[in-house]
Amino acid sequence: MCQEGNPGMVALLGLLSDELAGVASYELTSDEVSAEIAFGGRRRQAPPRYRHTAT
Amino acid sequence: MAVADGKHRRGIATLLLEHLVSLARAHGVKVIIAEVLADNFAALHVRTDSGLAMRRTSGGGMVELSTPVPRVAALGEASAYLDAVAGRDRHADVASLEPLLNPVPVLTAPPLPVPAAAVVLDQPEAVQLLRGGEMAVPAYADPEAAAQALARAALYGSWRSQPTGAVPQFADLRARDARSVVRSFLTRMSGGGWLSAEQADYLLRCYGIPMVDFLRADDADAAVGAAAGFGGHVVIKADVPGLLHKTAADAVELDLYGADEVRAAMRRLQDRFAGRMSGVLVEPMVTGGIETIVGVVQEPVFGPVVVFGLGGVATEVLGDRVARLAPLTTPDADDLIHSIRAAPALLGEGGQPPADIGALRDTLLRVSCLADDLPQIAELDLNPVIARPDGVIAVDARIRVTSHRLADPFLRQLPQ
Repeated sequence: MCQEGNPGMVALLGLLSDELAGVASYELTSDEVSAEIAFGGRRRQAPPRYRHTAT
Repeated sequence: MAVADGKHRRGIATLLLEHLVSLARAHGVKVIIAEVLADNFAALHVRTDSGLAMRRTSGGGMVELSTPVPRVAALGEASAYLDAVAGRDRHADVASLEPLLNPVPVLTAPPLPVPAAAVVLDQPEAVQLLRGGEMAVPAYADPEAAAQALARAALYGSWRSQPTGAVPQFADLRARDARSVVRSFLTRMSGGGWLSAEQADYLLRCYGIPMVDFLRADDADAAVGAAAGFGGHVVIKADVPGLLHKTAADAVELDLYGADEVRAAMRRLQDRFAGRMSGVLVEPMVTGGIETIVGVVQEPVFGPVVVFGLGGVATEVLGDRVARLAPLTTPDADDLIHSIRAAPALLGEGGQPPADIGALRDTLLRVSCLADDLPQIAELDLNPVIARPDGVIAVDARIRVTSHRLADPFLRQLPQ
């Protein structure tokens, strides 16, 4: 299944039967002729910053 | 790009990449770039499997893959391949997409029957609270953190749904005698300190905690006499003021048979602790069973906490311990027993006979009562408590009491 894309950003959902099996997307970079894909994988996390907004 | 757990190795990522590239080409994109962790082999394979030409550069644990997208007008194998991809017939069950494409805004929806967490990828904070009307939803910058928060919530919900149980009342406790031991110790030692072996033993027996018998001996003759009284198979422990970890200090002589072995052990202990040993404690040797630890520590906020785990020399090495707030309910005690990694051994799942779980539960509950009744107990260690099929018995105990007023745990001030 393809969601209709626009020139700046395209996102796809991959379905297997009724289940969501995968996602993919690209986003145009500032030069507008290259697009970046992000691959899933464990992120290298920066130390978390917490903002205390609890009341 | 991500593929759901359980859907890997079916070519889904490759198909998604093919589609992405064909769309990119239709939109005039000339190069597709991807940064991949160098150890993300699955992603690297996807790029290889797609059959597309690519340039790769590595550095800093990352691999940058750069794929030129064939021009629409270009002829050749790659272009034909992408045309074929674009032309493939792909249909979806639109109804199944409804929740994905039209998500319900949880902040304005009626209260949900399940915990909800949001992911806002571009927010600078790791987590913040989104408010809408009376609803508030935590928003995480990292999807993994959101998933972990939901997992915690689910775990908490599961805990809340368990029966609360009750704190058992024991009719045979001698609480007044126990308080008297602590009070008289603190009268002499106003700053608190470690109870003697005899005081600790008396205190624990006041609460019906099964303790091994022992006799103090000042010399070899007395030790031999005490050993004979215990049937000849004994343990001798050096009583050295200030020495808390007897096994680590080599102050325990195990598995001694007869007078000769007892005398030899006494000589070794006297050599090791010359001038420091105030005597020895002679105990019957307890064989078999599984060594566990039952302890109490004072947590600055929550008050007394009962600790249970694998005991003996394994206590520190394996760190197989769990803890619950005192006073324990009966389900709490059962939970402690079943939560350690070594629980299958206690339950007899390794082939050996199961330990007396009822006696172990009873001991935990009695220690919990003691800790709850006497907040002056700053630290208590029964290690090991030997759990055997025919009962449990503590063969070493140390208790530190303090006169300092312990912080009143604020949770205990909540109405019942």
